[in-house]
Amino acid sequence: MLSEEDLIARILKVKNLKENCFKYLEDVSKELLTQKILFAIAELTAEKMGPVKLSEIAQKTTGEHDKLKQDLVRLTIEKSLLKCGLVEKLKYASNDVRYILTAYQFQKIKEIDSFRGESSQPIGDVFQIPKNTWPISDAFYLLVAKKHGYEQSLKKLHADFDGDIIPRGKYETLNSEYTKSLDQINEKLDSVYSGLETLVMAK
Amino acid sequence: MKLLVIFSLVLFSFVMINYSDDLVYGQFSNQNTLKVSFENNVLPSYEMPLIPGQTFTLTQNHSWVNDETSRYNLESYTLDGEKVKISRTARGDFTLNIPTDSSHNIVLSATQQYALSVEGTNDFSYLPSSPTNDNWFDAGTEVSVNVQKTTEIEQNKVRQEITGWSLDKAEFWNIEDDGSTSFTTPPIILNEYHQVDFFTAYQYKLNVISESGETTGSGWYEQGVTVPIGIDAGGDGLVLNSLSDWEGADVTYDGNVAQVFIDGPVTVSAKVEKNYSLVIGVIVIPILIIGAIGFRKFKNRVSVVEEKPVERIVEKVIERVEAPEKKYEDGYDKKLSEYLSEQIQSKLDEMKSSKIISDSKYSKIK
Repeated sequence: MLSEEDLIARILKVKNLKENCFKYLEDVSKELLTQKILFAIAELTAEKMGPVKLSEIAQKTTGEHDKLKQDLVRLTIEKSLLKCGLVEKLKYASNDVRYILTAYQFQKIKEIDSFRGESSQPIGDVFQIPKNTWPISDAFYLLVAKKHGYEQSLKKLHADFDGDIIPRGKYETLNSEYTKSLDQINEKLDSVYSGLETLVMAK
Repeated sequence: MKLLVIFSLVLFSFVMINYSDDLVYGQFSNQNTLKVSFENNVLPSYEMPLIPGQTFTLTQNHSWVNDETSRYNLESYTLDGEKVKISRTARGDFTLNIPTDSSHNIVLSATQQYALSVEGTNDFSYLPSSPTNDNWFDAGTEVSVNVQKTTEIEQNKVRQEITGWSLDKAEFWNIEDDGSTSFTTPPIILNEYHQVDFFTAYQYKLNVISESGETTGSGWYEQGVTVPIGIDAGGDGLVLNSLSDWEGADVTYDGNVAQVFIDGPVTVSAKVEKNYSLVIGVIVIPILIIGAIGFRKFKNRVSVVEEKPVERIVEKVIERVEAPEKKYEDGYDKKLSEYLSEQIQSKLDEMKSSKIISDSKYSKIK
């Protein structure tokens, strides 16, 4: 199974895609099996916090997982999603193959050939796979929520002390205790989940 | 006659073909060429025509891949027997303008290089540094890695300390605290790819503070240790200071020994009280006694003043007028804790409604 670090790296990565591959993410492809498979892999990966099996993808996208459906899904993945580099195939054993998205943010690019050589030019905004399908552990969400909680509680504590609702001794004890907890949360967010909070909480 | 004409035409054709071949041969034999070869045949040789009057620029990558763990890097070229060193760099192309007035031979020399990767810290340097200013070194070179032992993560609060290192994840060594600020590995011979991993531990700052006197115990400690702290409260002349309590999280104090459990950066402060007993004993009481005697003599009459014990007089003198103590609401801790829970829940709800968190994960967490 992949480490949490690897999953976070995939979320933070912005992958460049040529127009012919980027189309699988756009609305124009929403009825295509290819896009359904893509989003199904994302959802299943978020649930399992790791790569997913073909049978699971087939079940999610077609409602069945018999050999016929699995072959259909496998062919679709191999012909388009693997070729475009949207999905990665991981072989855990000869009979255990699993799939995972290579990234969760994609930039459409246009390749330009000139006498100076090849270069690429970004087109439009970065496309993000829906955030609620990102493979992020429960601990991260809880840390973000706790961070908010402690920040708000400290604000209230300061206001109550200014309003003479609590004595200095009590204020200092609680302030020290809550600040320490907030510092520990921030430290974990900055080390284990570095860069993730800003990305996830961005509107 | 017809046959004679045909024979003449065929003969003419043969003559023309031979003439044109001679022309082509003449053109090649007159053309200048550049022969490019590589020392030790690290790349195949090739030849390029040089057209007089036109400039010709030879272009060659500074580095190219040899196998999975090594590469070649250009270090010099020999043009018609004259060797010239190349300013070495890892990336980009080496270019050389070749005179086209005559043919030339150029031999490019390249050195095999291996990478030395360092993980676990960003605050390090190679000794000596790479000839290509990256982490690649010429085959056979001996290289050490110098690393700063401590990296401050949060100023005066959290830092990372290098505690050990390994080579190729096979051999492991501890780094002893010898008081130095940096550590240098023994030389590593670069005859293959090597990886150096440094292991780190977080350390937290303990600040022991006091408004007066000198404290002990301040410093950097690893998580989970218990540190004894203390204070020499001192005094100001006849006014003595005495420790009444310690304030701050995770302090255990039984009246004699104080200890702090390190679970993050922490500041503890000593609560020091002024002890006026010596002032009272040496100055106030004699003054009061003298004053009382003097007063009695001055009045020169027998009074019915009730004798009061000295202690009570002193108490009255030093009695402080204090404002009536304010009554504060009870159970503030609990209310603040409930407020914290509400805020955590509201943030989780907000993340769910803005589709940051999936329904299933929300149900598990809430």
